[in-house]
This record gives sequence, C-alpha cells and structure tokens, in this order.
Amino acid sequence: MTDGDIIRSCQSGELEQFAQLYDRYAAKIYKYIYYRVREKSTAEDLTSLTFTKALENIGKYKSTQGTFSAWIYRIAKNTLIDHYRTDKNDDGLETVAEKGVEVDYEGAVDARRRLAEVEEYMQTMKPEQQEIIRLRLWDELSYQEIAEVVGKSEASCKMAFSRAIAVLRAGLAILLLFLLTQ
Amino acid sequence: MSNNIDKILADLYVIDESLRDHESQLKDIIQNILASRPDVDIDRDFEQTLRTELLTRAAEIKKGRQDSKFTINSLLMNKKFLYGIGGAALCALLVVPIMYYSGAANLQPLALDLNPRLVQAAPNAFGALTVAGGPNAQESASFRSSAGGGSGVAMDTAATPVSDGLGGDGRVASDMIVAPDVEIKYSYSGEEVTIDEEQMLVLKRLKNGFNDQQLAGILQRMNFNNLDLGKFSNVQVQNITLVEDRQYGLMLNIDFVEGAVYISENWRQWQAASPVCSDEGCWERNRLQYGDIPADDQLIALSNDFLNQYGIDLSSFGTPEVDNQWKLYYERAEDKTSYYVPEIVSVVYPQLYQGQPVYDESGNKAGVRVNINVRVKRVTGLYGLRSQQYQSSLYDIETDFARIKAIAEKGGRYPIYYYQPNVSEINLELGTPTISYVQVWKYENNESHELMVPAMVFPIIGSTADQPMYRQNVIVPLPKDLLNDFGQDGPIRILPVEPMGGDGSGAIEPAIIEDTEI
Repeated sequence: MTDGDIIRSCQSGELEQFAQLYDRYAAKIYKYIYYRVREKSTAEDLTSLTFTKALENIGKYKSTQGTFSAWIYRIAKNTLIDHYRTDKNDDGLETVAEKGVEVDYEGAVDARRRLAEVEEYMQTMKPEQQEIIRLRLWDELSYQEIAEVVGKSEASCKMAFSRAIAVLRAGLAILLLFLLTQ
Repeated sequence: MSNNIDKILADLYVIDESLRDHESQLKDIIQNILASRPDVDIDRDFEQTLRTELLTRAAEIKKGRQDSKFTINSLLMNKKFLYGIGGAALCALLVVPIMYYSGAANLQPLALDLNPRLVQAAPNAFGALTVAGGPNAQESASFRSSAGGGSGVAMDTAATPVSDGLGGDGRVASDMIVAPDVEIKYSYSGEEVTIDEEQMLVLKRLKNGFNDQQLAGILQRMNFNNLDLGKFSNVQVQNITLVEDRQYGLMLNIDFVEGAVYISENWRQWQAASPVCSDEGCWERNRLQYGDIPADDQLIALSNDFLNQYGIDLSSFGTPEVDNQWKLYYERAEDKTSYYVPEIVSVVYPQLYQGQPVYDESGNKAGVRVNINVRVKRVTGLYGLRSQQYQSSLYDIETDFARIKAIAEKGGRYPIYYYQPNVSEINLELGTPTISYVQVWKYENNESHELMVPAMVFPIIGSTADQPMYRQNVIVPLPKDLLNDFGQDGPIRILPVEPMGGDGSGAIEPAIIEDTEI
C-alpha cells in the first residue's frame, strides 16, 4: 500500500493502519531528531510526540499540500522548535544548528582533524544553510522534500545547498591556505 | 556511499557547473560531512513500545467517536452475528464482525498477521534463554506429548486454551515418566560439520495481542439490568469463545492476549460423529480399520478445502503433510486387529524460517495443525494460528562440533539417564545434520515465551520395531546459553526406580495402605 492508501484508510476510520506509516518512518524521524538533539531519551520523547501529533491530526492531512513524508518531517521540526523554546536557553533552531559534532569516532588523527575543520567551519554558516546541508546529506531528503519541510521552493533549496557547499569549499580553501602560510 | 556522493555532485553541477572544477575538494567535503553524521539507530524496544502506544491511542480516538448503547437482546437477534460465526473469513486479516449496535460505525478488523515479520533487537536482548530454577522449571508441551509415546492419536491441543503462561497449547502434563526399559544409543559417524558463525539470531515471538480497547468499550455498554459493566475500570478483553450452533459446528476461541485463534469442535454438535455404544461388542464392531483412513492426498485436500472455505491463508507456511506417526506403531503391533486406529488425523503446515522448517525439540515439524475426524471426514480443529511477529537478537552459539555430536548421541539436550533394570539397548545411526530452527519455551514470571533458536538437526536413520518412541530427528539447540544445563535432569524427570521384588521378577510391591477407621 502506498502512503496515500494508508492515509485514506486512516481517514475513513481505520486508524490502526497508522501503524504502517509508523513502521515506515519511525527510524527516519528518530534519526532526524537525534541528529539535532544528540540525546537518546530526548530524541525518543520527541519522536513519540511527533507520531502522536501525526496520528491525532491525520484527518487534517491533505495530499494537495505535499507528501506525507514532508508532512511528518515538518511536524518533527516544529516539535523540535517547541522543545527548544521550552528549554532553559530558550533558543530556536539556531541552538540546534549550533550543537557541535561529538568528535567521537575512530580514525586517523588526520581524518579527525579534517572532520573537525569541516564541522568548525559549518558553525560559521547561517543556521538555514547548515540545516539544508544536514537535510540533504544526513537525512538524505530530496530537494522536493526539503522544500516542503522548510517551506520554500525546490529551486531555491537547490540553490541554497549549492551556495552552502560552495561557501564551505571556499572557506576551507582559505583556511588551508592560511595554515600553509604559517 | 560513492554512488550517493556522485548523485549529489551531479545535482550540484546542474545548478552551478563551475563547481565541477573543484570536484576533488567537494568530494572530500561531502564525505567528511557524511562521516560526521552520528552513527545511531532507533532502539527496537522503544520502537515497538511506541507502536503499541500509538495503536492504543488510535483505539481511544475511535472509542471517543462511539456513543450509542445496545442491549443483549438486539445482539442475539442480529443475523450478522450468527452469519459471522458460520462464514467468518479467517484470512490474513481476521475479521470478527460479531456484533453491531445502532448508530455507530462497524467494528474494525483485528489483524492476525500470518506473514512472518522480524524486528531486530540488540544482542542478548531476551536475557538468559534458560530460566531461573533450572531446567525443571521449563515446560515444553510438544516434547512431553511426544515423550509419552504413541497411541496414534493426533495431538489435539487444548479445546479451552488458556493464556496464563502454561505453554503454547495450554497443555499441562506430568513432568515425570516411568524409567524406560529400552535404552537408545545414537551414534554419528559422518563428517564433521563446520559452523562458521559464532553468533546467530534467536527469535522471540511478540505477543502482539489484538487491540481490544474497542471491543472492551462496546461490551462495557451492554445492559444486564442488574449489573452495570460500565462500573468496572480499565477493562480488557482477554478471551472470546464463539460456537457454531449447527451439526458439526465449530468452536472459535480468540485469545486477545496471545494474539491467537483456536478452532475446535462444538462438542454438543458432534455427537453423530461417534458411534453410540454401551457394550464392548458395539465398540469392537464400530472400531475403525486401517483401510478406513483416507489417503494422504485426500486428507490434505479436506484440510485445504477447509482453509479456503474460511479464508485462512497459510501461503507463508510449508507444504502440508499428514502426521502418520501412528502408522509406524501400527506396523509394529503384533495384533493389528485390536490396534486402535485413530479417529483424528492431523495435517501439518510446517512453519518456515529462512525457507527451512521449524521443529519442536522432539524433532517434529512445528506449525499449524489441522485435525480431521476421519470417520465423518470433517475438520475438527485448527491449532497454531497466531501472529507471526518476532523480535530477533544475536546470541553466542556453540561451534565445537565434537560437543554438539556428544549431545546428539545422548539424544539431545535432555538425555535420559535412568532406566529399568535389565534394560535392552537399541542402536540408531544419526544422519548428516543440517542447521534449522527449533521452538523452545522460556517460562518466566508466570508467563511463557516462545523462542525460535538455531539448532543442529540430526535425522535418525532407520528405526526398529523395538523403538519405544518414534523420533524422526535429534535436535541440538545451538545457543550456548541453552546447552549450559546439558547433563542435568531435563523437564522429564524419572520416577524413582523401585528395587526388584524378592523373586527377581522385577515386580514392584504396591504401596501398603493402612486401613483406618472413619
């Protein structure tokens, strides 16, 4: 069954069919949230909240407004925003973007250094640019889905990603040049 | 990952061709960003728990939309209630249209998913595969029924199955047997079989019981005049029994906790299936003969017709076969004319995992069993129909073939060490083993859990007329956890062997009961 078929069943009263949608998206949404909160229990809580909201509002979903995938990612994103608004720091998505990578991976010293440089430079980019990079590379969403999640056109999302990568490349090139001349 | 990066780059070049000049750098950047992604996956226990919570919430939402009342009279007068029993479609999606009430939507189907599904859990997620209290605390219903020897009667599992953890079919058997008077010695002289993996998956069936919130809500609205069911709180439906009120009607038992359905005879409507006799002569005249038993293909056809009639889809199970163990004992009987030919014969639809049949620990194929009354050539029952959702978890397995062989040559995990005096020996050869899966039960906290574990299956080559208990295979489960108790008393304990009588006959003196005045 397609997502659309399952949604139609839910909307006609067979709410237990929602479990099929859950099975398809649980892992993806969990990862999406975890990448941004970096805590297992918080990620689980927010995942639970996301799917509960989706279930309770499945009757309001309209296919004309986009794919179910994008719809549930939007719910997850809003849930994240709400979470950080109730957090002590009272910050929005910027806080999510500013959370650094836990440099806790095996590998050569050189590899760790390169990774750290990329991540460090990403921190200097705008939160929206960082988010587009993460949505495309970490969450592996298509440009269409990214567009629906962030509320922009597909073309502008492609352009934003392209510019973000270009800026990242230029910034790292400058950094490398700086290091080589020291 | 390489293909993914190429795709990403290809998209970028469409947007900005000049980026192609920096392809090497871009690859590095993208690879580094991908490498920095946290390596995380959803916790499978959390995933399953949340799924259950969402289903409960879904039921609550639907319940909130239902507000009509009905009486027991309107239920009994409802033709669809009776129709639903007689022609219920018990397919992969089990529909129980058992009742309607005015002004409200139909009940939603209860999903009985017969297609195997696995949810992966962390290694050793099920804890110890044996239970505290030692092996004697374990129950293995199928093992017991096989160990009791063969009268040829098909294993007609409980007509009133329970869900209180007494094992897969509700059978509670004595855990003591009389010490055998025949010692079977197995030997394997084939080549060593190498096991490459050190860990294999153990499966645990999830008791995804049917969501009963909706039904509980309906039942609580029943009006018994003097009893208000609505006063009971946190009500759940555990079990429902329906009967077909017609000749050769069936009894349908739905176990909401186990997520299982059992079908058996409505005994009151099966009187015509047995001769009415009051003397031995009558029973002898009406005894079934060997030739009265239909051929295997006819029995399988009867079984398949029944499944088709009720829409039961067993396509995920193996090719059906008739359980003809009784014939082996019949062939060995000296007086065949007085041998009891069974009235119930089973057709087994073997459960499959990875294309291989799943066994029970006595070496028989496990699965769905359809019982047929051969006198009237009708299906009397169906057992083993339950949801096939499993969690899987990696466990360390035994890879030392010498040890496995030693266990197999003792007859399996629970060897019998006690025998009657002057025991005779039977030597049986074991054939080349294969690796398959076996059902074992873990009994813990008043609840039984069905596990499927990897095992080495040694076929028994040839059998003798003296073999007291027919076995097709010797099973050695491979998880190390299960082999730790090898050599101890198994779930089959032996009654103490009394000393021989003074005349050397081996007769055991009966217990002397003192008369006491009342």
